[in-house]
Amino acid sequence: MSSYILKLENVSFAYKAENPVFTNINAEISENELIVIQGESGLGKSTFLKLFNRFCELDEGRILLNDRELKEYQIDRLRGQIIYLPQLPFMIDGTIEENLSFAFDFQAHKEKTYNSPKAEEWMSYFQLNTKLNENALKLSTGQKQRIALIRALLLEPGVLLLDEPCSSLDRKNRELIEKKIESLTSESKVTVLMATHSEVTFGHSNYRKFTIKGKKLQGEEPQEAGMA
Amino acid sequence: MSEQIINITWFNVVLTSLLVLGAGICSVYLKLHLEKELVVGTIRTFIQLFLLGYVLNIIFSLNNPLVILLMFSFMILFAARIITGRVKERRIPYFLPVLGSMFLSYMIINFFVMSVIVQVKPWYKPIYFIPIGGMIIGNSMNALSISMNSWFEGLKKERDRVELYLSLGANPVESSRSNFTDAVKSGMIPSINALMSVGIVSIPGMMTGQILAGVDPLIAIKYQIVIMLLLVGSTAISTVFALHIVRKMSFTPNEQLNL
Repeated sequence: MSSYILKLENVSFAYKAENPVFTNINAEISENELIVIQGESGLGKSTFLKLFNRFCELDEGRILLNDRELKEYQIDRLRGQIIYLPQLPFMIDGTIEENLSFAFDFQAHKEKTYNSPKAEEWMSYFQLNTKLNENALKLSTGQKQRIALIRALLLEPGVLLLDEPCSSLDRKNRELIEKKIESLTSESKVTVLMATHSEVTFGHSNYRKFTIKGKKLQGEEPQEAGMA
Repeated sequence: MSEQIINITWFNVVLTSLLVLGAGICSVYLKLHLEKELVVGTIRTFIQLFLLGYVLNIIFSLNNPLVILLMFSFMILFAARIITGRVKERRIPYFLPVLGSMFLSYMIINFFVMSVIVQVKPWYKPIYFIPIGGMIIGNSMNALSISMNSWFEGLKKERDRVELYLSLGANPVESSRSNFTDAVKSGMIPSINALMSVGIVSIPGMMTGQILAGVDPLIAIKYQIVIMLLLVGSTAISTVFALHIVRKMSFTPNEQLNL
């Protein structure tokens, strides 16, 4: 078993063949790592995240999750393991608890059960003072973003893909959520890949930055030069 | 009840067009701009039913199962084309799968009614097979177009929810379950409503026809009951069948929404 949870080998992707988004990307991501993916809008940050849960399909190369190619996993099982959170949190019409528990009915999570006390724990971790029986649609965007994170975390994924989770939040909410995301990787067994167009407030030693430039992924540290 | 049916003269049939003329006057007076449609519709009614009368005469006299099945297939093909005209979604090529599911479900249902319920011998006897088949097709055609529109519109409206479900590990069936049931229900409600109102609000066309043709109303009601129940069943079967295929086509092999 390798030390990394995700490995990209010569990955290329294009929506249109004549205009590739990425060419020949190589990278390794270790368990419990916090990866920040930066780059200007339109360069493919969201696309990069969506390669991992197969919302976008590779044209060339391969991605390994725990030494097995993504294609070898049943798609719904893979998406139960690698959970993607979109920029705008979506709540179903119902209570917070219904929003946190509905995914436990899916086949991909059939061996798991929804645990209300665990949900309460995460609520206090994310400093949410709301009750589980409150209507989720009435929450603020910042609260919804935290509920969306809790919803994913309750499913105990190996990897969380966060697509601009703070872009629609005010400074206070942004700092709170980033702080919580930062400590997530040390407090739970989850690897986080977060796309953002702005600077993050994470402590420098706690994360690794990838920058998308010229259809390549550039690692911040020299030892990541393998990422082209 | 053995009284001969009165044969309406062609002159009197044409005389009925005066009523359409009345509708035309209303259209001009109220600026409805329906004059052209009224004229075309009236002419088409004459031509289409005239042709149908001749074709049915030929088919009834031939009494050949292949010719009857050909006629039945043609009716289904035409219905499937009408459905594609009514359904707004254009990106998903559902015509052939829907046609296939219509053909299969209508054949099964019509065969069951002919051989088990009415016990016609032979089962394809055209004076039974074609009119009853036509009623099945006409009714479930409406149901199918309502269901398909409801399915596509529901998915588009709920795109964010469906994509959320998919990203949390739901498969296409799980992510669109509520859309599927809503679509089937919306197609079935008109035929269930018809069950509620039949005989009170409306005297159904088939029964009216049989009574006019001199059939004892107590026999006519038995046929009508069979038809009403048949229509509910055929609507449900063909809608579920077609929607199963359309659901598959609405997602990519990578389990993403294809709309």
